[in-house]
Amino acid sequence: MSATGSETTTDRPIEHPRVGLFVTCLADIYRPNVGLAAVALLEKVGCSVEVPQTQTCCGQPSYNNGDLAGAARTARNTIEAFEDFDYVVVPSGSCAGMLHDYPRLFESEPGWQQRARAMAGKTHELISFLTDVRGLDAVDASFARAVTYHDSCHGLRALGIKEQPRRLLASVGGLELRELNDSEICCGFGGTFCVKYPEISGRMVADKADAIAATGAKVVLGGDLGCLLNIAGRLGREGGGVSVYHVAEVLAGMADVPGLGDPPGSGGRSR
Amino acid sequence: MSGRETVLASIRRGLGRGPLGDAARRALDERQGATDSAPLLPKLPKGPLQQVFRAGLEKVSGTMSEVAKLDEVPGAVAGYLAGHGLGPEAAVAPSLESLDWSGAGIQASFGPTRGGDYAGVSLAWRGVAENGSLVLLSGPENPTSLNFLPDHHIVVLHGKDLVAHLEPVWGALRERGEKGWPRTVNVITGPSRTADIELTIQLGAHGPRSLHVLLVD
Amino acid sequence: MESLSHAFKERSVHALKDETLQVALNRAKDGFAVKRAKAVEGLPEFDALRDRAVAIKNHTLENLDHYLERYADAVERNGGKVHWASSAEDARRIVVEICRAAGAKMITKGKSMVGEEVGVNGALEGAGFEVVETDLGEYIIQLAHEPPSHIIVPAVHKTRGQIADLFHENHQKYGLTRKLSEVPEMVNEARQVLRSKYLEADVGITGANFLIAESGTSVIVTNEGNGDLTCSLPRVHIVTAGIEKVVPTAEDATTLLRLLARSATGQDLTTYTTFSTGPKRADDTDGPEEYHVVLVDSGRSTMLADQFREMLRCIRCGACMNHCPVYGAIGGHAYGWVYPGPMGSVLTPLSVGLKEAGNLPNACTLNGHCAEVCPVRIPLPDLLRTLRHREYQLKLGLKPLRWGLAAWVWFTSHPRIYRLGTRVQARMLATLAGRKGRFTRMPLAGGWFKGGRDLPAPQGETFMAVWTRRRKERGQ
Ligand code: SF4
Repeated sequence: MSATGSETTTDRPIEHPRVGLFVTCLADIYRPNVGLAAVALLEKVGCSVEVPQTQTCCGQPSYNNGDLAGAARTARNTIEAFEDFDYVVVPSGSCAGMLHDYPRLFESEPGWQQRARAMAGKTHELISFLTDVRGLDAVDASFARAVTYHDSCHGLRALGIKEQPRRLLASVGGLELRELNDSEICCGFGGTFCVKYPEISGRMVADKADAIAATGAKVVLGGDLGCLLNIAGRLGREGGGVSVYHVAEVLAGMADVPGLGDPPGSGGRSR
Repeated sequence: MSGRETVLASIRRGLGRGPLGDAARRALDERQGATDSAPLLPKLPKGPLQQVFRAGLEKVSGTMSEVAKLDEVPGAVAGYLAGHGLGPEAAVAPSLESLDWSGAGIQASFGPTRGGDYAGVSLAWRGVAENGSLVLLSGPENPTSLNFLPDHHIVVLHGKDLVAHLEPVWGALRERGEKGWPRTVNVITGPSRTADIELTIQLGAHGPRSLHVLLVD
Repeated sequence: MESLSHAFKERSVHALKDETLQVALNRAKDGFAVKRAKAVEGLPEFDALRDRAVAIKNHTLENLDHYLERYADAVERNGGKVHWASSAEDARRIVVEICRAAGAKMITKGKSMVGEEVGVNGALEGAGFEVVETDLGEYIIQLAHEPPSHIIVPAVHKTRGQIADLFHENHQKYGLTRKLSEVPEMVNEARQVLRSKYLEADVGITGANFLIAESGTSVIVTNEGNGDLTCSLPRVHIVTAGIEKVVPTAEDATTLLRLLARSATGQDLTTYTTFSTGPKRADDTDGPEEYHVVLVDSGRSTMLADQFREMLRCIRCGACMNHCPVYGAIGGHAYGWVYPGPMGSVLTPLSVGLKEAGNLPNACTLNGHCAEVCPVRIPLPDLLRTLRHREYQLKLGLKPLRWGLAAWVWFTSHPRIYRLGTRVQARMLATLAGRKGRFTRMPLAGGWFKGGRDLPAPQGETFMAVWTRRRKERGQ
């Protein structure tokens, strides 16, 4: 274990921290490009990135469906895989928020709770880690498109992520950000909610798609793949030619692949 | 067990404790409210209290005019009624009975109303600058019905009775000692309104359609 | 009130298809949120006041027995009478008895959520009294024989056309036969009809927003003035209030008042804030001769025992539902009981049981907007999650979901098998989706597509696979 506890990491910036990338199950399966973009961005800010092979899921499906014991089992796996790093970085506000909640799962297991707390203390969502911990305020990328941005709820409310992605996007060459009306309103994903209450969820994402259309932007960005899959699914169904990317892909200059749910071979937009 | 004892026992079960001891209860009684600290009073906009009060009142569609002396109130009321196309009649709070109403050409009735009066005139106990609110105390001198049944409510407020926030009003009520709280304290902030139909704001739902303050200063 | 929460799913789907309702809901959606935001912006102390409010409520709840006793003693000192109702049934019985003893015929009511909760109207009508709701919104839904769909604006689901029809149908008997179409004339007509009711009523029943322990005072806030007419014109005034409404002093109530209207309607203060203390005094020339308070427990004391004590801080402002996207999509009636939206999704299962209302805590994306705006900082999403936990422990949820979760937990705690499985899955889905890049349907995943959306396909390789290959190539 590295000598740095969770306290020191926030006090004194480490020059070349060892960062464990928790890629999230959705990025792993659906969008490896997000993981690669995260690695690229982290390396730019002087981190040495490692990807523990034993990581799986953050445990939200169990946690949010009332199976706390199941969530704890998944959590133990994550803690064992990540507790030795200087930082744990997650390209998702939702999953990062889950890792912050781990201590709650171990109310009756003080040992594990201690470990969970220590890890939570050094866990960050990717974009806010880049800006708030590593002091990044500009990136070296270009993306000559009008884009709009959806603030995913967990990142926004649990972690206070709002201005950070906008700050970095402002430095992307050629990019024009058109603010989304109701950008802080939930897209209707909500994990298993979207399949348990599809009609309600469908209405919410349809509203989101309307708001997106009203901006006239043909690209939507966000920081959470769950929401983005939902939004891309709706936009794909509507067929309006709007592409969806994780914000990290654009910031890393790696949005040169098709957007989420776009036909293979249709990308190549960033230069 | 009485209803009271049943509910209290159930509360104590919920709280996981028995009845509080005398010392603990005394300590609670001695606190000034739920928090140990003095109430947090919002900062008011700069300027004299009257100006802040007027701004608050106008924000909620109330109106205000000023008179120099209490004696001028009946004349001002007469002017208000004429200006609103109303006849020279008003239901007036007994606290204002000593004024010369007939001299101003007003047929005044004194005492509570059962409706049917177009204008009611009452005397405020305090005015609160924070929101342009009026504080009226019920009593034989100031029947509550005057505040609600007439279409037009005219309230007389002495400049010296203007305070910044509601809190000093409660302090002053406590100082009334024996008399303490009257049956009703009405804090009135603007004329009656509703937004119950399509969230469209409409004045004069059940209470007065207009509220006018006569500031005596 | 009887619960229809078990039918949440069907009712919510129905609501989504109800076009008139959707018009009404869309109107409400932005209005409230924008007004609240403006009001909050105008009070820089808002957040500090929220902290105070939490402290006031927490302290009072910790000492609830003490403050209620002080309150009750003060009421009786002022000549009022306090009745203690353990259950909804007790509350109904007590109210009926008071009205009987008063020889009442006609009863007017101010809006009271606890009144709706315990079912006061039904009990009174069953006992032969005529009951008239006086809050315009409550009056409208009374004419429509519907429960409220919002705790602040009970008829928010109705359009003016529907209201015009209701008035036309019900006001003929007063000789008001013209069909109306404009809001001002409708408000006027209701004013006219209800005016006579106030004057006729023998008993007026109101709720209470706060009870002040120190002075034995009940506080109501209204914009219309209906509450005041209800509590000052009839011979008897009955206040129905939950036991959690008590606060120690008028100053404490004032702190909460600064938050209440701003959170509810975006006003700085409601038009009429009325502090009632006992019946008319010996020399008063108006006011009720009797003043009764019915303190309702009905499950509240049980909530003191655990995490749900936080819910007892609720001041019924409605901000949580005004900001809830689920409420915004389906409205209040789908929830099937008195309290809709986030606060209702916590309160309803506690009141009518998880078996009946298990859908409510689940029908939430946990987006946290409600907790963000709640003036007394109730962690509504956490409470909903706790209810889901209870439901899980009681094995009440859907079986396939339980099995799925169990399988997922096993999978996620066996990383090697997980790696292999995800690789196969990503590859397979990408291949199946082919050139389209997404699915328009898929067996076993019907729920996703029922929401009117496609499912984007994976890129093909998992990140882990790409990463491992890359490290090998780099010779790491
Ligand atoms: S839970 Fe909070 S936001 Fe919702 S009604 Fe109660 S006090 Fe208002």
